Amino acid sequence: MAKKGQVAFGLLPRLLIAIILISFIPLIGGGIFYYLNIQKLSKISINEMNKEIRVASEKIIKEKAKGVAKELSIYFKTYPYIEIKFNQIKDNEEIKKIAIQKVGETGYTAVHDIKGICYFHVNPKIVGFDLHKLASKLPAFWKILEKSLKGPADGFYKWKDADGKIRDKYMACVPVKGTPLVVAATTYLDEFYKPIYDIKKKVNLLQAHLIRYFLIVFAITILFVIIFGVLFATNVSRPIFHLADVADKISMGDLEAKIDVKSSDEIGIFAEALIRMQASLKAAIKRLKGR
Amino acid sequence: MKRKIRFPLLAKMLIMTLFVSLIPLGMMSFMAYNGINYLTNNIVNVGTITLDDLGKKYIKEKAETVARQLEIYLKAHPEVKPENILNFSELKDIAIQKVGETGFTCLYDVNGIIFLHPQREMTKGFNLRALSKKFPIWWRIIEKSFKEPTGGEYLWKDPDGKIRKKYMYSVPVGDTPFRLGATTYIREFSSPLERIQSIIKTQSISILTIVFIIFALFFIFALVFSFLFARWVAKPITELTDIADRIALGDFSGTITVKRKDEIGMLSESLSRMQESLKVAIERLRAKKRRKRI
Repeated sequence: MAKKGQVAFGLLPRLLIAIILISFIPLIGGGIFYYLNIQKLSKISINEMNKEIRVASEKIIKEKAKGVAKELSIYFKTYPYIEIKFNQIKDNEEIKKIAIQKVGETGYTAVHDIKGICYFHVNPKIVGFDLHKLASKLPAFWKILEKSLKGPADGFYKWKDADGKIRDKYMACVPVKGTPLVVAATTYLDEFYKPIYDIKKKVNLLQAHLIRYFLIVFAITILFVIIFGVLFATNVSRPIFHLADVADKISMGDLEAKIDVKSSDEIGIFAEALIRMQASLKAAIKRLKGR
Repeated sequence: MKRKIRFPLLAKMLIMTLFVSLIPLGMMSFMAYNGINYLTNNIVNVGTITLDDLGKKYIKEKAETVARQLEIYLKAHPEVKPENILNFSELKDIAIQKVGETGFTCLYDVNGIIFLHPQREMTKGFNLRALSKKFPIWWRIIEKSFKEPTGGEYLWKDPDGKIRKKYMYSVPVGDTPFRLGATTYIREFSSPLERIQSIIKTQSISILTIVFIIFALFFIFALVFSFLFARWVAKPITELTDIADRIALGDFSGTITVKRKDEIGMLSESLSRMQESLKVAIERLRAKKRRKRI
């Protein structure tokens, strides 16, 4: 008798291997490919955006330094009798107003001279301070300042805030024409990068969404594989078991075994052939037994 | 014996392939495509807004600093009057400065009369109101600037006939009736984005091309695979059908070549046993009949 146990390596496991080949492997491969590429694409575009925003913000800060330097230079030109000495001008409110201006939302301009003495600063404690003393404490900051003693200079440095947080700052230094003074405009870069943070957030969200969607697709596929795999395998193997059973019964001499296959594929055709065979055998045996 | 099969195994196999492989892969590709589009649009949109904003900040900064420079100069030179303003070349150098690559600053007063302007056709005494009909949005900004610091976008028709977007920021020069306007083409600031956009575009096109190629190859692979698998199941069954048909015609000589470990192998073994036993049974009956006749 035909029993399921006789089948060593059935259609269903074979079919499942095939499905894994044509379904899971490309799906997983495709998912990883898409994800990595989208990640790469977002990284590239965010980097490029970062660059452009940095260039644009540097331009603004530089422009500020240039503008203040020009204002000061016009001021000293129109009042040639003012001696540009620390003690002479440090308390001049008019000059102070020009020298200390806001840069962006979080920055200020300041003025020092080519000897490194601070003339004007938003923090009154620093006024009169010799900036050389910062050389060892803030090397990156000092590097820009040192260069500014000889000409225009700009660059990035890390600044430790009062609350202990270290943040990126940018400084642009422009000499004041006709004077020993240098204008330094400096500000935190965070304020310019705010939109980038928003994009980054969106991109991360998109990536998280994509992973979730991919997993959903994968889950649906597994469901499909189970439904269709089982459906297909049983649709094929059940009638085969039944027909094998019938063939075995016929071998035992039972020509009356009922063939119950309602399939419209090749197996159905085979079942029809068996029914015909049964009928013709019955007729033949009847004829032979008849006389 | 060929018979028409209404719903062959191949069709079943193809439907299954469609559901377990092509549809999910298509869904995934569609999501990835949408994701790339979303990403591109977002980066480009936010990027344009951000860079335009920075550009506007820059223009505002320029207008304010030039106005302050003028204020310092005018304070120290009370002899400067609207009538003799052209005599002070230093003032002219302050009032007309470059803004970015394509822009400039200019000086006019609260009546809309131009004093200093880099363009030759805008000579001293030119009344800006003359252009109010031609550039109404621009004129609204100018008009508002008579009262307060104002910034705004407007469209400007260049001598070459092309209309371009510009941005202007205008501030009062101290307490004087003078107004300092800084203006430039907006494109100057967001044009770096075109480079980023083209980078993204090339990148995403290459991703989508690879995706398309993979998908096409995979489609062919899945079709061939379904075809082979369906044939692998159907072929032995067709062979068995042939055997059964021959038995129906009384021919027991057919040999079954199918040798497999699955359900089909089992079926062919059963059929082969059946053929053998039928052959024996029929032969016995025939022999009996022959004996009876004798």
